[in-house]
Amino acid sequence: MKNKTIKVDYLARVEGEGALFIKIKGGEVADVKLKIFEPPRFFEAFLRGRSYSEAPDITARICGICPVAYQMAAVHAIEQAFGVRVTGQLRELRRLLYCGEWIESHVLHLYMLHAPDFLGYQDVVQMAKDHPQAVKNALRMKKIGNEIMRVIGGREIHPINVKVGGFYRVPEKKELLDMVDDIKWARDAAVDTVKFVSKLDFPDFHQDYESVSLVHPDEYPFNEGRIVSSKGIDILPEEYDFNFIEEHVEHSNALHSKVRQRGNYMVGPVARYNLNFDKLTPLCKQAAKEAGMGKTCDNLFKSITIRAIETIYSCEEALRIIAQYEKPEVPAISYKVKEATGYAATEAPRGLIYHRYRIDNNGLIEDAKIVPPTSQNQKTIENDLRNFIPAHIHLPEAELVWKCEQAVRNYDPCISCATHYLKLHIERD
Amino acid sequence: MKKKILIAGIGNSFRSDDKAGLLVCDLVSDALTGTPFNSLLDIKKLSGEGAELIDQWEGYESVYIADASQVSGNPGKVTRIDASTTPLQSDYFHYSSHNFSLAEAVELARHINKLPAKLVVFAVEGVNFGYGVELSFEVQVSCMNIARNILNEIFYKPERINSLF
Repeated sequence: MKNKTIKVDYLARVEGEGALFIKIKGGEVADVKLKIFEPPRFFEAFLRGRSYSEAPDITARICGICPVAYQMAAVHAIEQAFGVRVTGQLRELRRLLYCGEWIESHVLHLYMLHAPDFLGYQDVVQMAKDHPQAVKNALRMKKIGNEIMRVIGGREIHPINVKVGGFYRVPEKKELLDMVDDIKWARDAAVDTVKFVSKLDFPDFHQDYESVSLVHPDEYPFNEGRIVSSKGIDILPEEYDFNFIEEHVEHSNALHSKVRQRGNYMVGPVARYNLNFDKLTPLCKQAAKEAGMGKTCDNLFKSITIRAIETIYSCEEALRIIAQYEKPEVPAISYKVKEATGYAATEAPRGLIYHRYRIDNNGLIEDAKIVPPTSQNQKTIENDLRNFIPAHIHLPEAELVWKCEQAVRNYDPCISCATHYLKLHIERD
Repeated sequence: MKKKILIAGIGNSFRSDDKAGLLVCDLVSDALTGTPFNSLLDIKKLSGEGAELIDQWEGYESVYIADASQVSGNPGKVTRIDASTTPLQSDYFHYSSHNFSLAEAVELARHINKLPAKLVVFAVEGVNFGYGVELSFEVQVSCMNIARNILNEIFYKPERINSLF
């Protein structure tokens, strides 16, 4: 089977509309294209002319799984433009909101979408026949993440309680304390999840990635920090455009990102882990050690383990925030609208998000730029497939297609965000 | 005391006929406003995300779901499925986040004993799922029929139900 085309018309278990095309010629991979054909959604265009105050709610609509990350990047960028610094309990509440999003998103991906790949099931429905308790636990964990989002964000999907300067409403301490027992249960279930996924059979696939994520001096990054790479970048969010570029490629409606004058890079849980291992809690580090993980990881198939570790972190961080919480006197701090450009980067469950807004002196948005995680990972996903396929080229087509889809799902790609669905096509000439 | 009956509509208000389930909720709600039936059931509008669905129907004895189904050349066609006993086809409904939607939620719930005792799905075949807030005429008419049929099934008093519309 020296020449062949493998085509997956709709990549399942990813968000959005896309396809994968792989051409094998003379026994070697000649071409790999992650084709994103979901139409562009033009969020950047229709933000123009709208009030800065609408941006957090509009950008939260980009994704139903990670709305908080978009919302946070928007408020942080606008606050930076206006010279506003949200600190204390308001900042802690924003981190708590993030904890909810990471828990629900990571649990959805690792149990419902990715674990079936490793265990040889077509989907989670088939997996549930043999692993009913694991699936029940996953649903309960996800519900707990959603509940945090509801209490802090006003609702579970597309939260509406965040505003420039803080929140519209801040919760009473009792509302948070009521979630503590459930979050402790979720933390213990996440520890069990790390043990569960660490026993999976991981392909021996190691790559020299350039990891890019936020790094903060005092905490595992959610919504603040410098943008750092494993190959030397260490910049403020406002320097993003000088170091990274987006380019259009014919086969994708999502722009491809790369490091200027260097090439592809990788964002997401593995990148965060590689650059922030020392900021994890002792329980996370212990779980990682028992799972056989080092301080860094160069096998993206193990991203499932890192998502589980980050779920432990999110639960512990939520418990820490709730324990020290005192209701702030005001839900938001005051600020003055001014003509300025603001920049921010935050960490969505599936990786770094960058936002930039130019605002006029009436508070209207003149220009917006939004860079989602999946568009940054597209080139790296294609590279992974180019390097992964040769060792598996002998496999029957159905099995090869399965492995390729699994490799794509390592990134938990959210194509809707990136264009704002997935088909696989392998061609052997 | 928790109500025993849930009517859930699934959809996206901004994707044309995908809004069908939400319209059914509105029609049922409008029909019951000011009547004694209003206090007997819950009406929920949902996005269709699978885990949320399982969570939302937990505790109810009877659940009626309205959703738009894929285009196959019969615009507005309504299919009633007793999902308590009949498996749902995963490719029947419009896709939703991460491909874990109504059909997967129903089948997953069946395996982990989280399916309500009675679960009836009304699917209406859409015409257009593009961006927009208007439903096609055929789907609007079918939504009225679905709302009426759900209430008939719940209350078994067709003449009384018809007087609400």
